[in-house]
Amino acid sequence: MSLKIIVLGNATAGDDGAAILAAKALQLESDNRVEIIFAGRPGTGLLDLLEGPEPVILMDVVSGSGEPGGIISISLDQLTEQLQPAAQTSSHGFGPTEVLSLGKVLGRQLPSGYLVGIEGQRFDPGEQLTAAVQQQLPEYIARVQALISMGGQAAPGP
Amino acid sequence: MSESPVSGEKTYKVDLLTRVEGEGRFYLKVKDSQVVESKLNIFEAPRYFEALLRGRSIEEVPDIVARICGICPVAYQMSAVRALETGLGMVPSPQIRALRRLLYCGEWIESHALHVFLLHAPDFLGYDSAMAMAADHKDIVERGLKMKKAGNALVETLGGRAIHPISIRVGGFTSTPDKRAFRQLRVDLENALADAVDTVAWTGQLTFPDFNRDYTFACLDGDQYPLEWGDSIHISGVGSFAVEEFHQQTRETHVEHSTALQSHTKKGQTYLCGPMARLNRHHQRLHPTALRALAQSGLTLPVTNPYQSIVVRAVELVHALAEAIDIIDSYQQPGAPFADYQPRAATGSGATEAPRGLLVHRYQFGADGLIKDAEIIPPTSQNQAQIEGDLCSIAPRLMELDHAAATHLCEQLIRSYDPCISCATHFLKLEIDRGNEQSGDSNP
Repeated sequence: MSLKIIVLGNATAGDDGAAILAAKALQLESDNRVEIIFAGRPGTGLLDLLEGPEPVILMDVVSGSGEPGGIISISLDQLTEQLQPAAQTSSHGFGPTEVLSLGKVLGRQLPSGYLVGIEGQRFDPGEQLTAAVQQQLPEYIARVQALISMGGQAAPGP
Repeated sequence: MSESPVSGEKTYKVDLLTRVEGEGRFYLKVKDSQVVESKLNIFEAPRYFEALLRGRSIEEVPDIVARICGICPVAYQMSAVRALETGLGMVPSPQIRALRRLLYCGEWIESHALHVFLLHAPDFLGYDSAMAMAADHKDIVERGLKMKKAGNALVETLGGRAIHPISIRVGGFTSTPDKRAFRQLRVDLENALADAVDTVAWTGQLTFPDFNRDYTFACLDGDQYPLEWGDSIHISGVGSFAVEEFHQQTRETHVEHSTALQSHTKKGQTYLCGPMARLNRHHQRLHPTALRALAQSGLTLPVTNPYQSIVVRAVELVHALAEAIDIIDSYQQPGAPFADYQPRAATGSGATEAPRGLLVHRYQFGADGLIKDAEIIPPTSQNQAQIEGDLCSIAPRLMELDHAAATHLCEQLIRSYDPCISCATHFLKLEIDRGNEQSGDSNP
């Protein structure tokens, strides 16, 4: 494998399933150099998934970055350098930032790559996305697709 | 946290409990060393899983209930298939039972490792989080992560994936692994077992607040250390009774400050389920390696100090790892991964021991194989009233401490029960009064 895509989220918690839906659309178009892992909400288990030399694209739904449906991309290096991990509320509360920070503190070799996130609006039980997130899903898929074509190593657009 | 300046009155509260699963807060008001009010406030939204199950096929139940929790999905699946198979009159083959026990060992390993090292240990070593602790104690955090990884790998090998496994089904598994699938895993489990034995010694020498309680304990009964199987439940002071009598022996009530129902015995007593209950009743049934570790841990039985539950979990880690290795060594791939069945109208109850304690399921279903009613009673909701009682009992101790230390002691106490608040939020019956268009919905 030359690129690992780790997909985070809960398909039964409203917009939290957006990255999963997007990744399923990607899977049809990707090739055998790309490994897609649907990891759910792995907590600290994400550290195990980050092992290996391949660059990684983390697909996740984010909260608090801006308008619903907004798309962010940030390198994993920047993620650990610029963002503060949240207070440890639970093992479920070990999101990518917290896990990468923990890996850094432990001196783990972390992969290069990007987090590509889409801003969610509602996280209630159910499989339905909100309209704003649904509308932006094609753009989100396109951003990740562009990053795949660059081997997960370059910033996918603005 | 805050302190109320009312004369003679102190309030301890934490608005968002950390290092527990899900969202809750606690509130304790003390006046002249007497508790005026104690609340473990569970405000995580009710999740209506029991209502969601109604009308679904019994084949779908294991996959749906796995979604209740990302930490202990196997527990929900195991209690579900036990209840459904009991209703269907099915008894799984010894090979299927062994494989299910092995899978459950994997979940105990990953859940207990997570709690011992990442959620509970920071309390004893004086850190706010595992992240802060990792800076000074990499070896401890790495040991926990390694053990958790071994547990996850075991669940993934048998369950198809580590989170929300997909191989459990009524009558057995969708498929079973070849013995070769366990080759590397066995090596990892052996290494983790050595670490777990060290962990018992390490946790045994921690300093515990002196706080012993006269608990009523509840756990499964059976010939083995309770895990995936057991036809009866034992409550101390009550005795043993069949799993299907659980609803006659206990009662659930709703309290205003919680979205989780609270449990009491039919005589109104609070009770505690979980590792302490299991160890106190079944320590003779521990794997010999775990029994040796227990003897060297410094624990005195019965364990009645909840702060010492970290040691008990470490002992259970040894047990789960040692037993997993034994099961792998004697594993023979079953001829058929599952047994067929004919749906029939029935009600079935089943109980297993989740990492956090007794998990009881009851399903009523029709001859069409569709669920008519479902009830899921998780360990944290059973323990909730007991935790509130323990917070009351520790109140006199708080007077000797400054406010921050007192609040921390309460938080540490709550974490001792490893509460999974997300799991606990099964809810009371909901009745909606819409004026003349009355709809009584019994959403659990």
